[in-house]
Amino acid sequence: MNVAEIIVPQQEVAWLPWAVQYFFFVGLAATAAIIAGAGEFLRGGRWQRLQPAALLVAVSTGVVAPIALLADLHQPGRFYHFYTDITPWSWMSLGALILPVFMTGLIGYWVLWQRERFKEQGAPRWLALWTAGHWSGRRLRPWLAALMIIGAIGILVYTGSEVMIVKARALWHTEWLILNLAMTAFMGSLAAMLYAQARIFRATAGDQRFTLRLFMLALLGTGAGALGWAAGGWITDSVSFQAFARLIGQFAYWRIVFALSVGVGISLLVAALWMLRTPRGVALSWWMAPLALLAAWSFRWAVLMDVQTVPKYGAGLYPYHLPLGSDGLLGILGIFGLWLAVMMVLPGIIAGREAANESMKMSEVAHG
Amino acid sequence: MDPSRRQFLGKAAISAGAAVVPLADVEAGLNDQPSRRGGDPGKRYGMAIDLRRCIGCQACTVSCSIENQPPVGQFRTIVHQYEVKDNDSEDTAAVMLPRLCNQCDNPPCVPVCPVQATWQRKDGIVVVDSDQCVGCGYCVQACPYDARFINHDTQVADKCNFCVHRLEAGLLPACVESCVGGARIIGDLNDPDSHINQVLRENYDDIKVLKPELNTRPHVFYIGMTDAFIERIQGESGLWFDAEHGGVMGAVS
Amino acid sequence: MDNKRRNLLKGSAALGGLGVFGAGYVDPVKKAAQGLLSGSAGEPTTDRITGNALPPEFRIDAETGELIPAEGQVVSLTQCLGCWTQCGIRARVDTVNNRVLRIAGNPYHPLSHEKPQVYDAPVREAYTGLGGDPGIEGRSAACARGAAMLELLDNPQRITRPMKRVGPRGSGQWQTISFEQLIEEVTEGGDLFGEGRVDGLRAIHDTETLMDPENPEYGPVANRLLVTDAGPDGRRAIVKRFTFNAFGTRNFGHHGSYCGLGYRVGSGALFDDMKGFTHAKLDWDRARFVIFMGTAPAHAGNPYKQQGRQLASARTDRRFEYVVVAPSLPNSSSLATRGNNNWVPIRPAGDSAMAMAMIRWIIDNERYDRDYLIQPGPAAQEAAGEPSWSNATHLVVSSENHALTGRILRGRDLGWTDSAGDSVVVDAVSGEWMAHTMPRPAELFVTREVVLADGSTVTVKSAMQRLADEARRLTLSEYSAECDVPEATIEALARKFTSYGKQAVINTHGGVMNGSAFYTSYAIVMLNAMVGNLNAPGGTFVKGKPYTNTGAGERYDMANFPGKIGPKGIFLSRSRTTYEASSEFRRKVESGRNPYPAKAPWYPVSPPLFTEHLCSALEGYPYQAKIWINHMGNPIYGQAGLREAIDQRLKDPGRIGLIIGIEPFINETNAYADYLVPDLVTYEGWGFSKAWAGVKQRMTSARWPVVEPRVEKTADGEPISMEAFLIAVSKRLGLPGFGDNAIPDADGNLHPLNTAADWYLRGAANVAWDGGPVPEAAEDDMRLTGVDRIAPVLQAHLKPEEWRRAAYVFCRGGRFGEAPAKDAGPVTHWQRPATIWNEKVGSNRHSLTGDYFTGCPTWHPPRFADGSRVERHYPVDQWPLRLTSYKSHLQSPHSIAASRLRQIHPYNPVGINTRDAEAAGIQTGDRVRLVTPGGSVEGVALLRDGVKRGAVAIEHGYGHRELGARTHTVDGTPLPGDEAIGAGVNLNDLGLVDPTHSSGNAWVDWVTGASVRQALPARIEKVG
Ligand SMILES: Nc1nc2c(c(=O)[nH]1)N[C@H]1C(S)=C(S)[C@@H](COP(=O)(O)OP(=O)(O)OC[C@H]3O[C@@H](n4cnc5c(=O)[nH]c(N)nc54)[C@H](O)[C@@H]3O)O[C@H]1N2
Ligand SMILES: Nc1nc2c(c(=O)[nH]1)N[C@H]1C(S)=C(S)[C@@H](COP(=O)(O)OP(=O)(O)OC[C@H]3O[C@@H](n4cnc5c(=O)[nH]c(N)nc54)[C@H](O)[C@@H]3O)O[C@H]1N2
Ligand code: SF4
Ligand code: SF4
Ligand code: SF4
Ligand code: SF4
Ligand code: SF4
Ligand SMILES: [Mo]
Repeated sequence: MNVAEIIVPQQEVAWLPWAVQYFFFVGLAATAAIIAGAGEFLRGGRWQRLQPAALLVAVSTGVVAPIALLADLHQPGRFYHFYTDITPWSWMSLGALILPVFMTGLIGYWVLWQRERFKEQGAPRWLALWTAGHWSGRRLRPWLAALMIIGAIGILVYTGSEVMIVKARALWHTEWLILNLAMTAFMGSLAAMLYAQARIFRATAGDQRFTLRLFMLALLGTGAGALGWAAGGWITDSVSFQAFARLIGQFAYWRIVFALSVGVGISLLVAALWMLRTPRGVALSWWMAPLALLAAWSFRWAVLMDVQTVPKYGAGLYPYHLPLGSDGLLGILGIFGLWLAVMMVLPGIIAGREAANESMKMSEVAHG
Repeated sequence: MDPSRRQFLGKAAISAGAAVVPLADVEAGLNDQPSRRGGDPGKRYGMAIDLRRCIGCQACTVSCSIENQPPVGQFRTIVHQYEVKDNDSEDTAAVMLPRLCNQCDNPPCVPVCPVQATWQRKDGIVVVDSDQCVGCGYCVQACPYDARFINHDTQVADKCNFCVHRLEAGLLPACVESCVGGARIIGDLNDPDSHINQVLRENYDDIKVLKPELNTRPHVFYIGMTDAFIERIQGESGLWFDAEHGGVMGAVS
Repeated sequence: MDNKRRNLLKGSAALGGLGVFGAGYVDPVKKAAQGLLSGSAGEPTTDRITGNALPPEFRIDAETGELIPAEGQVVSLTQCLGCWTQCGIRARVDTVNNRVLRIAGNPYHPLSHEKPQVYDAPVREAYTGLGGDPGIEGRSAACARGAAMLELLDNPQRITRPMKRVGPRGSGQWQTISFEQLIEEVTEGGDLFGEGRVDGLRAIHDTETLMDPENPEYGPVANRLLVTDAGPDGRRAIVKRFTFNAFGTRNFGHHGSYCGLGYRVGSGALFDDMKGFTHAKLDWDRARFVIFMGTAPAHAGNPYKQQGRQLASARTDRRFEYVVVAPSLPNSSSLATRGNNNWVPIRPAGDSAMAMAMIRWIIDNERYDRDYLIQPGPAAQEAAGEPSWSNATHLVVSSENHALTGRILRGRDLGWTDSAGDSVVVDAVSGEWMAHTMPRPAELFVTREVVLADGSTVTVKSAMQRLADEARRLTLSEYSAECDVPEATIEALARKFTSYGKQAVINTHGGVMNGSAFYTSYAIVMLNAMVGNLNAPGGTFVKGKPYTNTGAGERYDMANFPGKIGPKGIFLSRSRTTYEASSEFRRKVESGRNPYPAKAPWYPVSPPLFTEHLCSALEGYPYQAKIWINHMGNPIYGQAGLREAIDQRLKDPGRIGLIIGIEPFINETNAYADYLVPDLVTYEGWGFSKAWAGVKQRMTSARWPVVEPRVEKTADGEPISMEAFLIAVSKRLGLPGFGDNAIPDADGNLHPLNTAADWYLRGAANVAWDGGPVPEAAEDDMRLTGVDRIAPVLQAHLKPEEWRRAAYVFCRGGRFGEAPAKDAGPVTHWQRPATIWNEKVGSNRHSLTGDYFTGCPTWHPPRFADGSRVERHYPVDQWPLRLTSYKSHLQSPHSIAASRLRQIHPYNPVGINTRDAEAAGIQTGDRVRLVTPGGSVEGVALLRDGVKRGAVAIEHGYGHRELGARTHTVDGTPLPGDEAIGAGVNLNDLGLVDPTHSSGNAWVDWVTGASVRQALPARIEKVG
């Protein structure tokens, strides 16, 4: 039987690009925070030396994320309803509780961590207050680190689950989504750290190689997640995989999305492998940062925005035209703009006297 | 027996009078249904739509639009129209499919709400509190039937609520009272003698609901629906009547 | 680079970033702020749970079942004008803000309910029955359009003050003027537009002087006034009173000729009614098999809403099967009842062939209802217990060029003295001549030579014989090739159609509006005669008689008045008169020339034709019109090809000097007007409309002002309207029948006609008394319906014993007779014969070819005025496609401004058969250009299996250029047009100009002059 739609309405997206921005930044923040936190507990130097970069990424994205989140509410002024009417059975409500916990952990930990560095290296005059008082807060740090890590894991779990439990959108309805969002987030934040180490901090080649390895792991994790989802889905023929297969089958757009993801993923992997082999490669590895970040962002765009254009009942795809204004392009750029602004100030604080001086040659970086 | 029938049997038990017990009076676990609030606990409203009687006139669509005043272009109900061709016989026929909120018995749109701005009443009607809603759009995502939308004017979630204001005044919903073909029937499923129960009994073997396998337990029951329309339409997508398609065109000479 | 510069760089980057952020984030911040301050980032709702829903009109107490009306709301029963069905509706009126809130159906109204509320039930009872479970059965609906039309009341595009053009005609530049100036200028004329002197109405108001002594039949000078309206919207009586009986012009026209005239005349031919063109509808309660061939119940059709409901019930509740024959699949079809309905795709205009094929098969296989057809007259019908009779056995003079050619043989022709007027038939038993009035059957198939009283010998054939001869002109396979419907399908349909006795019906209408509309229609309706279903339960019936309102009633004789005059002369459209009777013909014959062809076609069997009036008036054949008053009529939008045909001539003030448009909006036709007169929309004014067809019982709908009119008032406080205009003009010209002493009552006392109320309220009194007076309205009825608001007006105009009875009628939205029992059959029985041969048709000649018209159905493909086939002018290889028009199930030609209706289907795509489109590389959503010899439009393609191969289907009601689509300037300031109103395409912009019509008119049916909108030759191309 051949069915053709003659009169059918179109459904517009209910989650706007703000959501993509939130998922992107909060993912970077959480994963970077976990790595920064690791430095608190795992001994052995490398983790500690990765902390400045990790905290830079975590804090800068961490402060941006909630701002994007607020804007995704059509009634932002009513955000307080999240706290006046706590709803234990709603994942989103849960998220509303987790987010402040994470932020406290993150900011709290960073403040103490930074205070200690300032005490060692001396703080810039305008931040003198940071070191005021004679207490050290050493004992508090592990607790805050723990809070930060737990909060971060909470973030990764809730953001993933919040989307995963939506049965109505078959594509979302898979546990793998939680893993894939987390892994791509790691990929992005580690790439950002690679960049920070190379361009902002005087990171040694060894430290960068270490980060690059972690980055590799994230990539492999991402790949594994994708394969796992596909294989699992294929065997158990999960709704999510079926839905994807149908889209690939029917729509060129989705074929392109698919091809790009695979392509970018593999090329990043190959590039990383190759770079790991030589010091020169390691020195160049920060070049992957933009692509990796873009990949992480695009994944979220595909998951959150593109999937919303898939009719739940009808045939075809709903048209979505990115608005130029606040709910579209300008909003997206705005959030990036904010991050940029933060990134202009924050490194100066965190890096302190370690700030890279560009007179240093790449090779020097490479050879420490 | 196809799944939609099976699920109807499940629901038949309810319509046969067994009081509607809120799924979870105890504290609901993550994404479980919270307990039902308000409404007459003795009643369970549902709608039957007899597709044999639907002529696709859209009187329901316009009447709902005028009664509930959503922004022009946003619909609580609309009648989908299709053309289907039998590939062997080449016979072609029209299909009319009125769509609205199913007032599901297990409504996925409810537990997701982070601020309890949408809930199911004891009479089965799923309502939205426009003063409480933060417009997060989560329920819109969660509804498998695209029955919800963010109202452009009010900036909060909007959906069919069975014209609860009219039901409570002893009147019929706008779409029902203006149904030209006499296809839409609303009533109390807990009352064995209600008009709707009579119709459902008479057509027992021909009753289907949309997407039964999701276990949302819809309470809009279709009579005379072809199986091809139970799940998502496999077919040719129509025109989205948006400005993109340059609706504004006409004589050039 | 040094720190300074680096910091500077960083600083500016930071600022830049913040800048973009600020820009992108203002909206959320604004929303947040608004939310925090006012509680919502959007518009707050009136109720947190029910949102912005309207306050219910009543409450029905769950315990007591008592109905408690809401404060500030009444529910008024009046008439819809969303389309020409004109149902009875119930309007929820906000009495505080003078607004119509929502519209549904009138529970008493036969067009709005299958089992209407009994007429004398109190309103409270009727309204209580609308709620709760009983309401499911009791519900009475308005259709989507009917519900949405309330938007037109406060439509920004409405005109509320008289306007006069300041630019050239049609330029859309206006200046508002006072009502008094309007009347002054249109009656007295003068140099009104700085373009030289223009004659006013006074100048041509002369009912004595012949306008052209050379051609006396043209009648008096007064005939230079043309008055037209749209449909019978319940106010036509006063327009005709002015036109014919007060001003005295012969020329009146309405939309009939571009509505379904081809069908109406074809039907009139079968019903022996070439004046009223009676037509019948199927008996939905009992019919068992119905073919809808060129009409689409539930999609359009008149009555639209009622037939939709009847179709739904018939196919769901009982044994009922139906087939829709059409080039495009209409909403009549339903997969949900697949077993009992089917769609037979046909080539546009293929119907003449298909119907003739079915007739041939039925005759060849003797499947016709013999017992019915052999009854020659009423007595025989009586004796045989048939529901009606036919002239199948009557004898047709069939020799060419005899004075009686095409006529039915009468007694007098054989020299009979008694029953000289009777038709002659052949007694079935004795084989002797017999008068058709005998109570005996007659021979069905007869061919004889007869010597007439005047000594001449002629061949006579029975009407049935003539039909058989015509049907056998082509073989079934030849017919099948013409309509592209398989022979097997035609046979199967014919067999099935003749398998249900009189409970099989075929119905048609707009689908026949092709280039041979008359013969297509006549052939289709003839099939009903083959099964003898007229007046039969389950067959076809004619509607019940309306209640006399603004006519010759029991209380007031509103059809006659002192000084009444009757119009003289022939119509502009050269209809209802023969070319052979014209001076032109006489002159040609006298000068020994072949009188044929006439200068342009004449239409001897047609009523006055709006479709020809304009072209004739502009071209001056037969004569020119000087002034045109158009009330609502919109042929420029509605008649295929008319714009193309007359646009330039209409814009030239040298031809028709003065055009006055009366209407609430500016439609495509009145856009050419020199003066625009505001008019009332249906919720604001008075009127009495009837069912077009399809209602067995008697009924008359009453329209009354349920809200205060939006238009400005005249100096003496009357809302400006068509009525106010005609009354003022008549009084200024001192015409009879208007002003004081204009309306005689039963006792001969005269009453005034100075206001609309003077007219319609007396009409209401007539309705209240026709067939016995109705009771007096109860206070409660009047309170619930808001009629109490107009009670003072009723009291002021009517006699004490009248006003409450008139109120009773308004309280119920009209007067409706008792519905007959479902199996009772019709209330009104059609008495005249089904004319298998119609001599009024068969004895006339076509004015261009000089050929006789065939008096019975016969195959005719679409042709132009001179008889040439379309393909001869527009070869198939260049014009491979055929356009087919179907009404929008949502829109009417005048509903487009209603946004809540438009939102569902904002424009009409161009429907193309899926395979045709794929062959042409066209996909759904592509922009395509449709080209015909008459014009071209651009639209959006929609691929459909529901379109016949080779056809292109266009939904009617879109592609407006006016009604708000276009920007006009009023008093120098623009009245902005709304693009959305102009969305989509209008098939009529593709209509053809007949290349063989010397006046260059748009293509019309060569027999009836009906607009041709089906089977237009076309081609399609992808744009860009
Ligand atoms: N929704 C709606 N209803 C209406 C109206 C309206 O504007 N909108 N207007 C009212 C009025 S004024 C009238 S007169 C009636 C008219 O009611 P109808 O005559 O029933 O409607 P139309 O659309 O004019 O034509 C009927 C059908 O003819 C088919 N058709 C077209 N060409 C051909 C052909 O060559 N052969 C055959 N067999 N079929 C063909 C079309 O598919 C169409 O469905 O509707 C009334 N009801
Ligand atoms: N291609 C194509 N052409 C068609 C048709 C088709 O199916 N296809 N249908 C044909 C048919 S069946 C018909 S009947 C004609 C109709 O053609 P018309 O009757 O001439 O035009 P309408 O647009 O129906 O109505 C005339 C005017 O009524 C005005 N009007 C609307 N509401 C009100 C009101 O409440 N009060 C007053 N006073 N005026 C009001 C509008 O401004 C409109 O311009 O069109 C015909 N044209
Ligand atoms: S149809 Fe959608 S909105 Fe309605 S109850 Fe079910 S899930 Fe909720
Ligand atoms: S949009 Fe409103 S109702 Fe829906 S989930 Fe969010 S807050 Fe709840
Ligand atoms: S019940 Fe009311 S709200 Fe729901 S669709 Fe019908 S009219 Fe609209
Ligand atoms: S009003 Fe009734 S018949 Fe008309 S479209 Fe809606 S459901 Fe179908
Ligand atoms: S059918 Fe026509 S008259 Fe009747 S309600 Fe609909 S629009 Fe009004
Ligand atoms: Mo019409």
